[in-house]
Formats: sequence, C-alpha cells, structure tokens
Amino acid sequence: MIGRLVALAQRGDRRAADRLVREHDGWVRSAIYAVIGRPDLVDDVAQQVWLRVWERLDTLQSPARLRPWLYTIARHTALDVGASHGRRSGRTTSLENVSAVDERSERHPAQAASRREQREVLLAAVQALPADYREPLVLRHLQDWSYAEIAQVLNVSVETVETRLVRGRALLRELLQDRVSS
Amino acid sequence: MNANADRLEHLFSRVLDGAASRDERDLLDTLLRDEAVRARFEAYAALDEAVGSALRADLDRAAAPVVSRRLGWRIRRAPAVGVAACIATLIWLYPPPPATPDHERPQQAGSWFAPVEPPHDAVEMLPATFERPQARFRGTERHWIIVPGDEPGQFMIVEVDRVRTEVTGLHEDY
Repeated sequence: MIGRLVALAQRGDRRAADRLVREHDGWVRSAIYAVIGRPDLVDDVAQQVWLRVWERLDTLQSPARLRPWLYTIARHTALDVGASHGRRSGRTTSLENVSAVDERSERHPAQAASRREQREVLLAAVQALPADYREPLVLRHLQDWSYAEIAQVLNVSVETVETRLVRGRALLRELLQDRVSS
Repeated sequence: MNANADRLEHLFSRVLDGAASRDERDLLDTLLRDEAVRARFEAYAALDEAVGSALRADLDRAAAPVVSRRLGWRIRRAPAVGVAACIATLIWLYPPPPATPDHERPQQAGSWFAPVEPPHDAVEMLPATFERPQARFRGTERHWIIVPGDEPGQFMIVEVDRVRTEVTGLHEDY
C-alpha cells in the first residue's frame, strides 16, 4: 500500500504526493519537535522537510523504509535549523501563546500560574535529556507509538527503545529531583 | 539503582506503554499489594502522565493561533462577500447621478476642527470606451472588486491579493 503510494509520488502523481504528506505530516512534526524542542519553529522546519523530501524522493530505493527515511531527513533538517536558532535551553514562549492559555483558565489565575510553571519545569527537564532518551520519549507520548514503531523510525532494536525509555524516565526523575532540591 | 529496582521500572514502563504481556500485568497486580511498590508506581505513572500532557500542550499551543487565524479569515470571508454583493447590487440598481459643475453643487457643512473629507470609497465611472468593468471601488480597504457582468443581476467578484503600500512625506523640520 505504502509502496504503491511512494511509487506513484515518485512518478509525479500529485494526489499520491498530497496523501503522503497528509498521512505523515503529523508524526514528522512530532519528530521535529522531539529533536528541536521549539514548537514555534516546527511549522518552518516541516516545510523545509517536505521540500527536501520532494527533492530526494527519487533516491528512496525501498518504499517500505519510508518512515526511517523521512525521520532521517526530519532529524537532519531540525538539527540544521536548531544549530542556527539555538535549541531551546531556557524555556521561552510568545506573549500571544501565553494569553491564549491564560484566557482559558482565567478564573483561577494562581492555579493556572502554578500549573504553567510546573509544565515549564517538566518541559525544561525533557529538553535537558540526551537526544537518545528524549526522542523516543517524545515520540512515545505524542504519537502513542508501540516500541516496534519507534524502533523502525529510529533504526534501532525494540529492546533498545525499551531500555532508552526506562533510562530516559529515570533520568528525567533525577533531573526533576535536582531542580526541586535546588 | 539495584537490579530489583531496575526490573521494577522496566515493568512499570512496559505496563504504562501498553507493551506488557498478560503475565506481566498479573505480576504487577500482585506486586501492587505492597504499599511501597504501589506508591512508587503511582508516582511513576503520575510523572509520565504529566510529561505527556505537558508535551502535547506545548506542541498544540504553537499550532493553535495559526488554526484560529485561518478560521477567523474563513468566518469573516462569508459576510465580506455578502456585503460586497449588496453594494454591487445597489450600484447596479441605482447608478450614481451625472457629475454636476462646481458652481451648481450645494455648500457642504464643515468646520475648522472637522473638515469635510471626500468619501473614501468613491465610485468612478470609466469612459464609455471600456465595455467592462463599468464600476470599480477606489481607495478601498476591501480585497474584493465587484464587476457587473453582461446580464442585469450578474456580477463577477475579483479577489485581490493586494500588498498595500503607504507614502510618507518627509519634512526637514530641523
């Protein structure tokens, strides 16, 4: 099925290309976010990823390997953009986004502020994880993928994914404990 | 981390990720009878849930304004087309009177503080040599141009993707 879709897209079928984007854009965005950690840059990077995909689609020999191939492009593009913009180390967000969130929870501003602060601490801890642990963890949460699906995209074994998730969670807990104690 | 704790975290992780077998879930149920293990599992699950919802909220938050802006444009678009069509119908049914010479024009009310300004959306009749368009809007903020068609009651709406420019006068006051 996916092989036929890729073959059609490679031959220039516009509908197949559209479908390919629609079916894969969601997880590609999650992958970009997992790498770059900047939601404000995800749209821009996703556009660049799809441009690169169309430029290189002919080089994809095995359509069954579409997902890992897309992930590699998404990862490299995100890293390129991350290098120029700086991966998020300290948490930043636009005022527009903050006000949109605040409007929803205006009735209890203190609670909302506390929740936002808590979320910022959690996100900062996730961003502080090494890429090997952060990427499967983010994909697991955002895409609800199985270990096998994550393993296929990351091009590692299922056991490796499982170990990285367990270690990532343990490391996350340690990071949060350090922050709380400091 | 000792070996037991490591195994326990693997088990927690597999259950939370939906990767545990029936036997593993049964094993966890048995282990959860121990208060200490139960408290540890609950803390583990709570942190995992909090991380998941924080990540989803962070990614959704970036996408939300884009969606709402697009939606806003779609919502505004329909009334804009309706208003434009009404104006075009009025122009079609009641064309502007022929221009009168300056000396025959009535005096317009105005003051030093509120001078009368020319109408912003002036309708200009084009020379008869032009078959179409017969009417157009000038100096308008609208992104639509309504052109009457060949038949009465028939209109063409032209969407203009305009880049507005402004001229600013520069004065040497110093």
